[in-house]
Amino acid sequence: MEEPIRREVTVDASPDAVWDAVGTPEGLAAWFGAEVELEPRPGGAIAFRMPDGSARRGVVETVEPPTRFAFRWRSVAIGSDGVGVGDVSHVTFELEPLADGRTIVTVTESPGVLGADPELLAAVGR
Amino acid sequence: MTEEPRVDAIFVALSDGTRRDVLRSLSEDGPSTSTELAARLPVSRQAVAKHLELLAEAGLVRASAEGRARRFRVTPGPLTDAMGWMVDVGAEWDERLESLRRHVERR
Repeated sequence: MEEPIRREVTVDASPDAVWDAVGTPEGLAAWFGAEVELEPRPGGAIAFRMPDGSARRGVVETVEPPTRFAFRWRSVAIGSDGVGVGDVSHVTFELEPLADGRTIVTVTESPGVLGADPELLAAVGR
Repeated sequence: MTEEPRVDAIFVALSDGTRRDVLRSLSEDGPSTSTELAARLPVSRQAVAKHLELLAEAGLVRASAEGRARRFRVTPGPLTDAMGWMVDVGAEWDERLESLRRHVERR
């Protein structure tokens, strides 16, 4: 169960056109359904503010046009008792070109920080 | 803020095939000690004990003391929460991808 969430869509557009929509702040803002801040480089900031006021903030991890865009994020909410943050999850967009010019877009989301948790591995004696 | 279920801990717990076998065995065979589980699975009792500890920390199993042996059973709530997360977040991504498709295909 490495990737609990995996969804894909085939779009009638080139990988470059899809990359513009996925890997740039203006592109993301046009379809994601949120206000977007994005510094499109590894270590850059990424943030989404949804119409209902909820927000996600995170860090960009991979920027490899026109193939792979990945970041980790967590929900941030300001309640009456202070700021709450949700668990981190890791999101990856992968773009695969088809021979007919279309593009398969696959998104995966996995909770937790990418990679193994050394404390957990130690706990099972590996 | 109310506590959210520790979904990441649950998925990490489920990411190991042996731990999934332990959970499946507890579900199918009922509450068991680590010795009983080790007799059913191709794993040492010590490894089973460590897997049970991790599953318990993730809230997927709980132990009841029974003399010298601890008997473990599945706690279904967190697994249901994790499955609910998968369904909800999966549906969110389906909607977003459809929105992406409409956006890049606009003429």
